[in-house]
Order: sequence, then C-alpha cells, then structure tokens
Amino acid sequence: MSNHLTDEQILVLDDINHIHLTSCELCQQRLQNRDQIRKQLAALPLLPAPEIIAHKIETELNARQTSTSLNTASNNRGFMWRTSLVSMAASIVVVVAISWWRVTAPVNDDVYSALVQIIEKNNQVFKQNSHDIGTTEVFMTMQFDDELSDIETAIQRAYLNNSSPEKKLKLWERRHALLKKMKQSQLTATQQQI
Amino acid sequence: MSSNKGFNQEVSQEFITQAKTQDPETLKDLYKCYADACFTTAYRLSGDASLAADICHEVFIVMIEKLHSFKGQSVQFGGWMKRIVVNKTINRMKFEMRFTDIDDSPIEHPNTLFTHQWLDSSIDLHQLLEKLSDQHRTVLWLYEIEGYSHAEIASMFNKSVSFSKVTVLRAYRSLQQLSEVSHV
Repeated sequence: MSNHLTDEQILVLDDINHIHLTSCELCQQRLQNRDQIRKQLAALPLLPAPEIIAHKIETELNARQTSTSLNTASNNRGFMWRTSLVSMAASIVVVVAISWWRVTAPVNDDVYSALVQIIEKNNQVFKQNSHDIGTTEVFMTMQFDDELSDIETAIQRAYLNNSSPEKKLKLWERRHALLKKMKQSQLTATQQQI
Repeated sequence: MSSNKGFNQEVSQEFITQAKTQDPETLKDLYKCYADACFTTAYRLSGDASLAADICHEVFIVMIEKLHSFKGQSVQFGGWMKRIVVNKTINRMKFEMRFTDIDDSPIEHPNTLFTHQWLDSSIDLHQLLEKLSDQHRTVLWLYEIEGYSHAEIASMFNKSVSFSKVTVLRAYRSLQQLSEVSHV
C-alpha cells in the first residue's frame, strides 16, 4: 500500500490526496467504502426521549418559579441570587452528607478527616469567590459554570448512590481545584482591567 | 413542528423571541422540537440511556436559563443546543472517568480499514456501537457524524491531535472486528 493513501489520509483528504485519488481506482474504492460506513452511521434513527424527562423538567421549572418569586423581592441581582442559592444548596449537601455518612458508614478516620478538610476548603474558597463577585462580574464564565454544575451534580449523585468515601473525596477535590481555577481566572481578569 | 430533523429542525425568530419570555407553551414546543435529538446525541456519545436521559433533562434546564444569552439567528439555534448537549455529555463522562483507554500498541494491519465493505447493512449497527469502548464510540461519533475536527476533539479531551486521529482509526478497527464477529 506504500503508493496509496493511508487510512488516515482517507479520513482527512487534502489537495494532494485529491490529486492521487483522481488517478487511483483502489483509493477511490476505499474512500467509497468509508463513505458508505459513515452514511450507515448517520442513517441511524432518532431515539424517542423518555417521557419522564418532560415531567422532571416541568416539576423543576415550577419549583424554580416559586423560589424565584420568593427571592426576587429581597434580592434583585440575579447573579448573586444564583450564587447564594448554590452556596446554600452546597451547605445543605455538606451538612446532610457528613451527618448521614457518619451515621451509616463504618468510620474510617483518615478518609473521614480528609473529607471534612476538603469540604471545609471548598467552603472557604467558595465564600471568598462569592465575596469577590461583588467587585467584579468576570468570575463565572459559561465554561466554569457548566463544569461546576456538573461536579455538584456528580457529588449529589455520589451521596444518593451511596458511593465510596474515596470517590466522594475525589469529587470534592475536583470541585476545590475548579474553584481555585475560577479564583485564579478572576484575579487574572482583574489585573488585566487594572 | 416535528422533531424528525434532529438539530436541523428550523424554528422562527419569533418563536425564539417568545421562548425568551419563558412562555410555558413555547418552551414545551421547544422541548418537543429538540428532545429526541438531545437524547439521541447524548445516547450515541455515551451508549448509556440513563445518562442520556439525565443529560437531556439538564440540557433543557440550562438552555432555558441561558436562553436570554442566545444572540444568534434562529437557524443557528439547533447548533447551539447541540453544542450544549455534546459539552455536557463529554464533561459528565470525564467526571465519571469513562475515558480510560490507554492503548499504545501499534494498529494492526495498517491501511487496510477500507479496502473492502465490511459493514453489512443487515447488521444491527445500534448494538455494535454500544459494544465499542466509550472512548472509541465518543470520538468516532464526534468526528464522523457531528463534524468535529481532530483539533476540536483534541481540545475537548485535553489531548493532542494525533490522539484524536489514532482513536478514530482504532474505533473503526474495533467496529470492523465486532462486525466480523457478529457475522460468524
């Protein structure tokens, strides 16, 4: 095959490869075979979304609507409302998680104290970040927002699924690392403004 | 509005404007329009129906929250949704540490992947994809179907461009082997 296109070149055709293709029947056939597989993949039908999803979204939106109405009167800054809500939710998770875990799981002091420490670190960085938002709004980019939301969902899921303390510890460490990254990003942005 | 066009389903500018007002009926229509596409994309990437349902749920909540920030034309709306679905799914799979393939072995029989048509149309491709490793399935689907470039995939995985190229080739090879086994 040394005079022919590689599989990689068949996948990404550039101008030179096109020139080879015009004069090589074997590579033309290979390209057709690849296109045929891709068409078969693309022709796979759409799958119906389970109906439960619509109900869950509706329930969540209704709950948020109620919560928003209650919060709007006391706080007109949507961003701050959101962070305080997340902070509150995180605290609830922390308190419930620690007490629940302490009661139900066999106590492993090393992991437990590591968990307590990392949760405390999370809270400190989160509080610091939330405080700094008052002076600059560049803190929460969409990417960070998504990542933080994903980690928090994973943490909640870990507690609901009774995952191992080691797994929970890893998740809290990831959250802490992300919060620190966000903090760093905020500092950089502030310095650039100055 | 039907959902048979997936993310290519077009919605009008008026419809988007109305959705930004958080009108419940419009949001329901928006859901009907894109829910199957969201679920399918998350499923094709992850091979996990439960995770895909979770992603679909999260994506609509995020979409409704961020709708006000959508400044594009209505024809770009499907693409915007698709990007959210893909990012959410990849992020989730990363957090669940599903991308664990570390295969440095040389690719067997290089440059013979497309020398014959090995994917018979009678094969259940849906099942075949489920059997691929998460990493192979996700990268193959992103590159061949969703149209992401090797550079974009490399960036999503925090890896090099050659990682993406090699993974697509390995994924094809796995697909071929699974296809041939299913014939026996």
